[in-house]
Amino acid sequence: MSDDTRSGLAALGIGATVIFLTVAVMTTTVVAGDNSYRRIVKDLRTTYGATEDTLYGAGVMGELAVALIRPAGVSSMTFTILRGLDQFRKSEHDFNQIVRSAVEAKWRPLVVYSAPGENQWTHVYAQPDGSHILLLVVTRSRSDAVVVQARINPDKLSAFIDNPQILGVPVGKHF
Amino acid sequence: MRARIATTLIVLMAAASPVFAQAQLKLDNLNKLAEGAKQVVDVTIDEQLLQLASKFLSASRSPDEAQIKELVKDLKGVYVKRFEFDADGKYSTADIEPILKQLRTPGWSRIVGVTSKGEGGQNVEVFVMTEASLIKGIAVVAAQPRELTVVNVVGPIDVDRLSRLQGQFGIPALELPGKPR
Repeated sequence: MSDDTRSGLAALGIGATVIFLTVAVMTTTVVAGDNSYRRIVKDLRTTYGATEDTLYGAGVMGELAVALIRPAGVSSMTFTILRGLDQFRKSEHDFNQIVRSAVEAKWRPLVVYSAPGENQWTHVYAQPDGSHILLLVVTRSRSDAVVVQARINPDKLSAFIDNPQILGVPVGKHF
Repeated sequence: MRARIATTLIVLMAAASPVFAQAQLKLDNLNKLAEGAKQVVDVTIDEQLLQLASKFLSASRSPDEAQIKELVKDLKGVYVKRFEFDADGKYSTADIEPILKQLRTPGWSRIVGVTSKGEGGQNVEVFVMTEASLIKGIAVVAAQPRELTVVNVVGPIDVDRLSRLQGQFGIPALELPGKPR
């Protein structure tokens, strides 16, 4: 086998691994039978005419980073960045209503913060998952919104805060 | 015999579960104030989430975190509603009345009442629910002309312990007696 063939196969292997890990992460982040995350993204897009920010594949790269680095007890994470929510000039109450109606009953509202004067809205929902906690966070400024769903191990996250390491490399005592 | 033991256990469990539930206030009537508010904070942490959230606290990190972790160990829930308005008169005593009505029911006692006069004067009232010597919950109603905060902590807690929880789990600084410096 020539060197070119070997390097070609190696590149193919790396590519396949990256795709496999990405798919693996994306499938693990979906809560079985729960469409809350997708519904929020869809409803914000249709109601406000918002567009998903796919700049540099931010969502996929973030998920891949979580799969490889596993920071702070975060075993899976998926997120979507939405732009242009101010296009249709809907009132802030629509945003709160959209989020509330999109989230399924199994999610418990943990924190709701609304400051229409400052164009800031944050909804945090949670549900226990064994020793883990599932978090669904929707935050919005005037024109942008981020929807994040993550599965977190509080014990590991606490240990990470005490001794932060990424890929086994200490990253400092304090951020 | 087994059936009798099982029945007794079920009755005991049924009797035990609402022990602290009585100390949880119904705060939903305040939700209507959100429309006219400049800022709204709504925190709902039940026992299960509270215990999970307390895992983020580490006794080795600081003595404060150790104390708070110990404090929340037995709590059943933390509920906070805070409204900030951009003008006076955006809420009235009628809006708070349904909360106060619950706090006038048997079991609840008003233990602290602070009224500070003048511009921006704050009225703070602290209530505890007790049964025998057991504290089942605590409630704080803090009202200012442009701000209204209601805190309800369910579980065994007293004012001193509550003061230590200020700034944690969405509980704002309430200038309660015994606040640690």
